[in-house]
Amino acid sequence: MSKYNRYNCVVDASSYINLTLFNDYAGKTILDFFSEKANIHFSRCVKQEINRHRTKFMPTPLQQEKSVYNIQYYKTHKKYELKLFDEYDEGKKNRGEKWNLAVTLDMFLSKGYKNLVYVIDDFNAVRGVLKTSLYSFPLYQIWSSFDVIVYLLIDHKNFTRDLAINALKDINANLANDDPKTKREKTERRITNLNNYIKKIERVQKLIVK
Amino acid sequence: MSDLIKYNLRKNPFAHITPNFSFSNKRNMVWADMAKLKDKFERIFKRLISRGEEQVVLNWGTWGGGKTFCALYYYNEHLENENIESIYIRLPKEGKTIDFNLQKEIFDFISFNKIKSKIQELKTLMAEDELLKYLTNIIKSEEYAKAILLIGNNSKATDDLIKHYMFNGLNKSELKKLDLARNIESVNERAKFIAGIFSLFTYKDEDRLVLWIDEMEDLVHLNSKDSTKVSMFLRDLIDLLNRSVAIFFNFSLAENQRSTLEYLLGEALSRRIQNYIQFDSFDKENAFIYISELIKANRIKTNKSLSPFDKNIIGKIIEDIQPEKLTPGEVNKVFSELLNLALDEDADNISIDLYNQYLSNVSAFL
Repeated sequence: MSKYNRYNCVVDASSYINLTLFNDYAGKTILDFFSEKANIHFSRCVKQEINRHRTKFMPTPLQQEKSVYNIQYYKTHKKYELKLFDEYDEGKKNRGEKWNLAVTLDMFLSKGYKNLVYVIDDFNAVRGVLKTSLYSFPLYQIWSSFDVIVYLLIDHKNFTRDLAINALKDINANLANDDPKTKREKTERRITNLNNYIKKIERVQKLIVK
Repeated sequence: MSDLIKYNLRKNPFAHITPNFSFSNKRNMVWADMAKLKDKFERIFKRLISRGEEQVVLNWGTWGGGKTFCALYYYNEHLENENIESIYIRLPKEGKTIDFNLQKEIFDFISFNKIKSKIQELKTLMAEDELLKYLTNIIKSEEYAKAILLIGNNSKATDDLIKHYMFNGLNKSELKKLDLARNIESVNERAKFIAGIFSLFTYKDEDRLVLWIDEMEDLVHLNSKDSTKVSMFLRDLIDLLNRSVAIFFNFSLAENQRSTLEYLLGEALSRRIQNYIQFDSFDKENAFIYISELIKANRIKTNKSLSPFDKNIIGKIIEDIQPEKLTPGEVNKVFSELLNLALDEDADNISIDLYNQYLSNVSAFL
């Protein structure tokens, strides 16, 4: 796929962190594989969050800068935020998630980007602040890091089933914004999550033999 | 004698909401209903005890299905049998040091002094050279066989050093004092060391060892590297110990998630499991039998009464519990709380009114 037909993925800090936890997938991070197949974007605000929660294997801030999609705060972001969310709090809560949604919409509405994907692992934000707005625009797909893994299994010739399974386990064990009340609920949720995606991987494997 | 006397009960029959070592003993553990399940375990223990066949078993099923109870039940059953050494641990939670923690948990459960006594006992049966040869032959490491035998020494200074060796590692000069060449570092070395300890307890023909590892579902909280360490440790342990040992893994998992087991345990460990035993939730009839058998086992005077419950109220409660939650754990929880409410209210029996009062507070799980 040429660079211009690739997926344009707007990645939240939660996913960016999860995709750069380890670099032992054939010596690379999941983000390395992902950026070989898709264009990675995020808002300036998410870049700041990423820098606050750096992982060992993240690209340098200079490399990250190439992914920043700039929108002006007063002219553009505020306009989106006022229209997208019922309560305007000057972006104090879930700033990154809101800015990234503004970026995703602006990429389509102002620049005409296609193949858009909004990538997020903060499921509390998806169920909470983003709930209505995120699902109002049929312009982009919504993925988690787990979907990124399934996508790579399909589209990246060097991303094998074993890498996919290890990556699933690693990200599943690290889910931060997934905080049920009891240990049992947490364990159940993670097992359910792993089970669901393993089934997807098995399904994909039936179609795509590597 | 407790207030329960007025209900013709020696003690709360449903007290095992979450089975606990400190409160369990052979006398107060009643295996109610689940006869088929019990039969499976009896067969496994028969193979182990009478024929010394190695058994690797995975107990899986819903939360509250009775897996931990089963472990404690058989632990207590075997407690008085001096030929069986039983060990019960839960899967440690810390990922980075998981193999070290597994070694530590097993060792702590057996205890340093018990291992020391066992070595001293074996030294009365054979020369130390012979014992060293026996261990070396099993674990394929003279170095760790030597280290294990040092536990049986009679010097306080050596005790201190060998404890450091097992838990913290020694520096070169300390290792030299013990005439050892290296610490226990890799996963494989830890498995050899523990296999050597286990082999002390299976030296005699009639000796058996049973290891229970509970809460294996916590593997889901480990990243792939750390969960591989667990699989490697257990695989090596199973391969080194090929007789007189049974290893049981308890794994809580919903029925439709069975296929996840292999991914969490790893292919190599999964392949070594001989028996998969499922702990289902009850059907209504079995739930009734379970409840009445527990009450009967705890009655003071033998009669037909299910006091303070009766047939109708038990049936009503069973109807109300969601089918997928109809497990021993959930039944114990509901019936234990009802019994306590009856005592608090000084009720003569558990009536529908009392049950409704209970429901108004806890309707969330019914």
